[in-house]
Amino acid sequence: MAALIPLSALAEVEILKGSPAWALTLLAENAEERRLTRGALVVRQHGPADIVWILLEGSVEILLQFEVVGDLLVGVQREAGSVVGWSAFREPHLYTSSARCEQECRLLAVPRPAFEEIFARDPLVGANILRRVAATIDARLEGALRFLTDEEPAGE
Amino acid sequence: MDTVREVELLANSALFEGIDPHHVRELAGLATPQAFQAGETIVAQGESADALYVVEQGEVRIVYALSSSAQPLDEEEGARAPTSEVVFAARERGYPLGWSAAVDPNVYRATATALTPTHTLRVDRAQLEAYAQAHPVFALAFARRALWLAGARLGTVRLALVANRLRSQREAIAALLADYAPTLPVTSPLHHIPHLLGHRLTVDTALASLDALVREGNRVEREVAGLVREQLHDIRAALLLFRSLQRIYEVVASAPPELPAEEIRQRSLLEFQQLFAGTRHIVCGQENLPACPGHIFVMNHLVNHPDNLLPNDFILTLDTHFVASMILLPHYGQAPIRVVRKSHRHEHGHQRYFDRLGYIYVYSGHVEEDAEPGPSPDDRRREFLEIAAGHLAAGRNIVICPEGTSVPTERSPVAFRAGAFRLARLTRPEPLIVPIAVANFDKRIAQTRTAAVVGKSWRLSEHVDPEAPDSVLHDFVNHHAHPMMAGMVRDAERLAEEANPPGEAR
Repeated sequence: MAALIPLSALAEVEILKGSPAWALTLLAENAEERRLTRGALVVRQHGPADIVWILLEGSVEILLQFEVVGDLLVGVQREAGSVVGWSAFREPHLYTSSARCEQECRLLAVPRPAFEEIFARDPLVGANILRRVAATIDARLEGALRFLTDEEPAGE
Repeated sequence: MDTVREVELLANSALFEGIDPHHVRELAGLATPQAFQAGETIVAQGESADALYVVEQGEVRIVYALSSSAQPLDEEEGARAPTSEVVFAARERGYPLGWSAAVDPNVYRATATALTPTHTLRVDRAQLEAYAQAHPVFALAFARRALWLAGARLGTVRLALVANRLRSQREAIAALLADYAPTLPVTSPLHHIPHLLGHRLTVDTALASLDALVREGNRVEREVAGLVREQLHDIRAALLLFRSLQRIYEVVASAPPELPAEEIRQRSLLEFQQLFAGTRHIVCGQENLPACPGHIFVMNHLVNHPDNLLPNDFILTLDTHFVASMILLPHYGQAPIRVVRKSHRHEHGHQRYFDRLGYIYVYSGHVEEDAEPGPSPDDRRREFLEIAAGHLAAGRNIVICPEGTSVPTERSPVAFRAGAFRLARLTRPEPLIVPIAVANFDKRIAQTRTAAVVGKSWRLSEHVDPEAPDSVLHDFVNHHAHPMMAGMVRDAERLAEEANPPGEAR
């Protein structure tokens, strides 16, 4: 397993802000840092959403992939600490879009069961995390709407 | 609303799905019924989300408005800039509105407006948060649901994006379903949906199937059916329009034989008023309408959209019925007389409809080559003028489309025939000629804004000496009347295109 991720780094991740140290420790013990090259797929549309990815460095394109339209760019995530693959928190736990590295990226891969363990241990901590994830999705909604009306997709 | 119904409403809402019934009962006790009139705002984009609402009954329009940073600032109005809009509709019981109350930063992301009288259950955010804090298990479950809802909305918008790129909701839905196909049971009714949506006579079945899947499908089916259903606002609106046309046809064609034509005309136009009330339209120039009836109204004639074709191969012309029902009937209290083409022998639907309305028939000999035996063209022309003059003398309005054919808005109007103007010339007292230009009735009117412009009325004798030869009349029609109408049709087109024109209905 790779070196433990510093808790201070995790504490700065948007969806984990306000989470107690024990929760951050649990995540750090289960997380793995990965480097992906430009063009690599982070998640694939309709794939099983078993991992929550946290962007540490780089930028990721969010794509809808349909046969008739090919790859439809619906957003770009650039902000360090942002989540890729929030579908891991949401039934039916299938990624609803693909995410592809726009450039070389450094990401944290956190298995979904680690979060579920936190949720089971302290539901209020879990609720805080999920509220923050929902806020993230809400922000992307505005980006998608702008893209729908031919605005530039809002970067994260 | 009684408590049992409130509990049932919340329990069946997507926002509370799977939540322990005990918590749902407690929250139902905290919730308050709130009703909204048609046109009333339920939540407004940008405002503090201090409550969420669950729809008990009614139809709601949801609009995401985006200010365009690419547009220049308006010099007169300062910071206000034009907006783009993304519109959805909701009509099912249990639909959650204002769920931003459950998601930071607690600001409503869209404006929800009641399209019909709407009854909701309101849940105050402060009370919800206090309850969540005191009940951690509920807090977690509810956060999962709020996240689920946020994801569903994002999915809806993304699918709308695909539809936008494909310029077709149906194709986008087909693409979505094809994409999910490997994850669906082979027996899933979702596989049928693209085919059912492909024809207006089976859209009903598709919608019913989706409604059932949202309630009873497996998790993937419920997700996908919900996504598809949210996209179907325009298709649903088109279906309602089509059903209205079917009903109107039967009101006329199946009217009791003893009912007078005037009564049938009136009834059909009242039905059309209901139909058009559900569409976006704008009318300008009503102040130009003469105070009393008994005049000739000339208008351009637009082709019908093929979606409006009834199963008996007949199409009700929307432009002329709009003018009759939305402009003339409200102003004069009487249904006008229209001049229509006599049905060909094989046009049974056409004949069943128009034979009951007491309209004035013109035979194809006036407009095209006449293959039918019968009176000579001159005799028919005389008969037409006599009948029409009789109506005018009796104080009835007559609507005539001088082109004798129909074309799309962009090509309208084509050349005029002289019949309407010859009628004005030969009728005493001389009637006014009132021009009315229409636009966009050749499009899917459930998805577009139509427009009508009423021009200033005039008498033919002001322009053409009553004793002048026919060539002078034709010259006037071709070089004055037609260009004037062409200008008015362009005005109507522009009116329909304006973002927020004053006087728009719906």
